[in-house]
Amino acid sequence: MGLERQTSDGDLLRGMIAGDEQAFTELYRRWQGPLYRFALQMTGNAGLAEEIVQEVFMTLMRTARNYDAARGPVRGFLYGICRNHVMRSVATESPYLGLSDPEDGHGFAELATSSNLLADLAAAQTVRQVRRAILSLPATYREAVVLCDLHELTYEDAAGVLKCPVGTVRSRLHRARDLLLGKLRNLAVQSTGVAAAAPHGSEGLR
Amino acid sequence: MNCTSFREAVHEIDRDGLLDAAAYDSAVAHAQTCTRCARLLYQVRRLDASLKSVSRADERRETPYRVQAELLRAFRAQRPLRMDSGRTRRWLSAAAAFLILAGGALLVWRHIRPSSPATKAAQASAVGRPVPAATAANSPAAGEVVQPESVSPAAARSPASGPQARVTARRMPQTVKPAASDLEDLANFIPLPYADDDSPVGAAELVRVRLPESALGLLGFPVRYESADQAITADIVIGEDGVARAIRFVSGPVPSELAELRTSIPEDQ
Repeated sequence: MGLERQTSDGDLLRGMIAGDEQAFTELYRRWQGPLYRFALQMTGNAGLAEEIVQEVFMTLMRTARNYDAARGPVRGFLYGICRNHVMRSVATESPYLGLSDPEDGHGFAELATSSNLLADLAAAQTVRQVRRAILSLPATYREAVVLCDLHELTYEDAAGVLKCPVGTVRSRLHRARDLLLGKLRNLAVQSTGVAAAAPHGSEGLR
Repeated sequence: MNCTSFREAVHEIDRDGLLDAAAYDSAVAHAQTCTRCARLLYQVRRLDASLKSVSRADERRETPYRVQAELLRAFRAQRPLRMDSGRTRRWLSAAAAFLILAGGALLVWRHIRPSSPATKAAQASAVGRPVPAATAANSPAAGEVVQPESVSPAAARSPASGPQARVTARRMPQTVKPAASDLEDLANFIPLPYADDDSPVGAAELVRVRLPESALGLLGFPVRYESADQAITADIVIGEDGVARAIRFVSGPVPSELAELRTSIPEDQ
């Protein structure tokens, strides 16, 4: 029996609880990517992200019976488990904790002076800078950006994963995006300075 | 809308469904009249585009296959345990149900067994006892079951203690020394000649019967010709195996020959 995509996550989870290896495999294949990316974007460490995904599904094997469909979709349940492992890892292993400074670069007036900054963010180098800026956010703001912007969860779904009110998600996301704008402005200023100092000019951020 | 409220809403302008139409129109109108807010809106939209670029750049990132392989191994290792535990629970449930049913059946059987004349008749006929009056009342040689009683030989009491009383049989280990009263009661019982003394009596029953003295011949006792027609009331101990073990004469003339056969239990037993 093939398990097509239309098989719901809930059915796969029930099959997994019953010992159906195919259901477990399908559930893993369906969600390992998003969960891995979430862990990677939160930790910036591929090896750690792999371990976290593995722990998520090991935890799922033990606690799948605790899933309550009335509390939300399976996706939220999986993200919630993953988030718990991520936050545990971030608290003990994150090399980026020292970079985070919530007050760094905040101010819209200064941001307005470098209006060309965002014009270059589409470049691959800029993508790396955005990723680094995300990683430098405090974990509570970082997870809001990752869930709502990178994974496109609704405020309600993110609130279910983060186990906090929707209003808290909203305010954290706003704060996180303001911080991102400030950090990217600083990066653009630094890059512009380096480009201006280069003898033959360069394709720096403008 | 002023600059402050615009900054509060700027991150939600392009998010579907977060701003109603009026708020959206008001924010866009403000950005058209305010250069600073227009620049902020532009930067926010570039931020959204850059975040989408990050999302697109990462969308093919997945765990290596070895993670799936390790998880499958773990799943297979767990699954038999889960199935075994379920199977064990089912077996335990079945065993518990069987024990409950068996216990209930035993209780019912023990409750109805003493009051079943047919059972007594069957046991009596198996050992040559008198048959119940209900089945052989017209036979001159037949006895009459007066009152069945369930007791152990050691706990058998005198007739005055009550054939009416139903006493639960007590299993006595062979090494336990009987009480003095038990020894006295036992002394009144005469072992039947063919009874197997070596086999345990177990949960014995005491059955009171009324029978002609001539019927004693069936039990292996000598019969006196002159009193063969006289009725005798006696208690018969029936072992757990249904075999009659001993007899105690309650009323009627006890043959002198039988008196000599009465059990004498040594003091050291």
